[in-house]
Amino acid sequence: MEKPQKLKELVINLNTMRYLKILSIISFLLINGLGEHGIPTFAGIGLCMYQFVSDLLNYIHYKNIEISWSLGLVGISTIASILIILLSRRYKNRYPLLVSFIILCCTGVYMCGVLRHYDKIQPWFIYPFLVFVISSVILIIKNFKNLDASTLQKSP
Amino acid sequence: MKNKSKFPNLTLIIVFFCLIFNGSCKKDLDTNEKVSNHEITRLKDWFQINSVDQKFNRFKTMTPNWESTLVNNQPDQEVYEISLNNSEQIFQSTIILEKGSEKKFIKKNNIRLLIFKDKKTNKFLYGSYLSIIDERTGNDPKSIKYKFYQNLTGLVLYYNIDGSFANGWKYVNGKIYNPITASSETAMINSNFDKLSQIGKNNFDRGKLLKESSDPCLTGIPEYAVSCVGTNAYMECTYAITGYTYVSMCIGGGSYGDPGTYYPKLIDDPHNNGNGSITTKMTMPPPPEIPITDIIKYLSCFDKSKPASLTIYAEKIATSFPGHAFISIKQGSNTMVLGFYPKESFPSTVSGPGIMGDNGEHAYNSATNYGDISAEKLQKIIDTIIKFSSSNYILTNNNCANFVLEVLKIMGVTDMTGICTPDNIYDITKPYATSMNGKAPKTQRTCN
Repeated sequence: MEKPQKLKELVINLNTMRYLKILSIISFLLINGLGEHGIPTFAGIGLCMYQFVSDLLNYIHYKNIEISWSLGLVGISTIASILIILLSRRYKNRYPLLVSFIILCCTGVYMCGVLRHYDKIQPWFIYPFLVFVISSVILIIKNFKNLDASTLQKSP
Repeated sequence: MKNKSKFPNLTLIIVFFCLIFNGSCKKDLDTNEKVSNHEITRLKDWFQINSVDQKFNRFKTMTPNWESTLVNNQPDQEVYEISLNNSEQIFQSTIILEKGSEKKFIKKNNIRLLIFKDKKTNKFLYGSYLSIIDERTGNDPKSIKYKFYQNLTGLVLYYNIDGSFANGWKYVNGKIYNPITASSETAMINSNFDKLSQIGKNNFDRGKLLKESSDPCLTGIPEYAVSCVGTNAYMECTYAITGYTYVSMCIGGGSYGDPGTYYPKLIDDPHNNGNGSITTKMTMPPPPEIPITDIIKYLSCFDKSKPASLTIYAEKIATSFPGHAFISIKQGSNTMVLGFYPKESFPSTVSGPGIMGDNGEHAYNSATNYGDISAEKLQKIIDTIIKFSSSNYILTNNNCANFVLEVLKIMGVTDMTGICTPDNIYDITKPYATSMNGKAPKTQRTCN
């Protein structure tokens, strides 16, 4: 009688994790920039990747173009972090997950420019940012909780 | 066994996102409240100090009825709405009235005093006269509050505290139909001369051309007041036109600020040499920090028949995310530094209305001076600026870099099209750069 109960709890937990992951990623992508252009993170990632790829492609034809390595680093690391969070397994990938959230936090802070424009905080920044931070913290805590070996085998 | 729902967290997610959207999109509600005596005293003092220049004020005989003061809460400001004692029965109408019909039209107009206070600093910013002219019967303009023009079909006219016309809006069923900008009697007369030159003398139509213009945008809004002649025993009172407000009303043209609002006449704007109401300082997003509300007026200092000096600036994406590209035009002692921005915050930052912003003292990574440009090119650049300021800001293909790209095309530097970023502008202009890593000059204007 105890085993099915445990399994049910595990399923509920896994669903929670899935929703929290989606919530965390969507809220991260919706964090709005505080600068004069105020672009959201999803557009920021697109801009970084576009600039990096176009610089690489243009470099083949015009050698005098500077390649924006820093934008490439930001764009690729953000996309990689999002993928790691979405594909991570419970407990097993807890450290990559933690690192990914730290990377997302750093890139989020860089893209929204909160350190320069902290006096301009607005709802489209604060709400998604809070949702991202809260859901990430819950997700990390849940991921670091140890489960017994038998249930771990069945986790996705 | 516990009867747990299978998806309790789905509800949680929905609640979270409801909070986000609700918090972000909710507009501050109008909460009209009576004002404390202390605040009324402050308002009186402010009005006394700031309404000194009353010589040409069309509303000088209208005195504020301080007891009727109401506060109208706006996102960043508190707007005090004060009704006016109207002993001369001053009113405005959109049409020239038949004799005897004036009393019917008095009720269709309401003129009141507005005093704006900054919520953060608790300081009074500026004052304005608001005139609401209802063109549809049944509406009481007295009950309509500042920026809450639901169901209004008519005009909303804002006057500066000295009585000069500032700006206005034409509403149809509560929605903005077109902005109204200031014009002049001279423009009207010139327009009439054009018309007179085109028609035969016999078609003068008994002087009806007086306030009709050949330019359909130009019009004069008449102001009426009662004047009485006689003794205490017998007094004959009649309404007469005391003046006109000359305005330009055209769909899609003329005005570039926050829709429905009053564009203040700033006295101590450092970016305007204390001369007027062209740029407005904002402390909160939507961007830009200093939007240019009237680009035509902003650029009016330039003599389009003379050459000017052009500089292109680029700030790289990585330097200050997401970077910026802007231009400066210098002619004599006039220097204007400006760039293209989204007018409103998200989601308009991705695609939405655009606005020009003042970029005086903005940081850059490369500055390229293209020397003196011909009058013809200056005209083209000014046309491009005006075109962009009324166009939509689209992050992918109509952003600040695209604006600079258009200017570079006029200069014959590039023929690049499509997606453009500040880094692209940097790459194009860097080989000819005259200065690297610095701050752009301050905007300086020498005219009104």
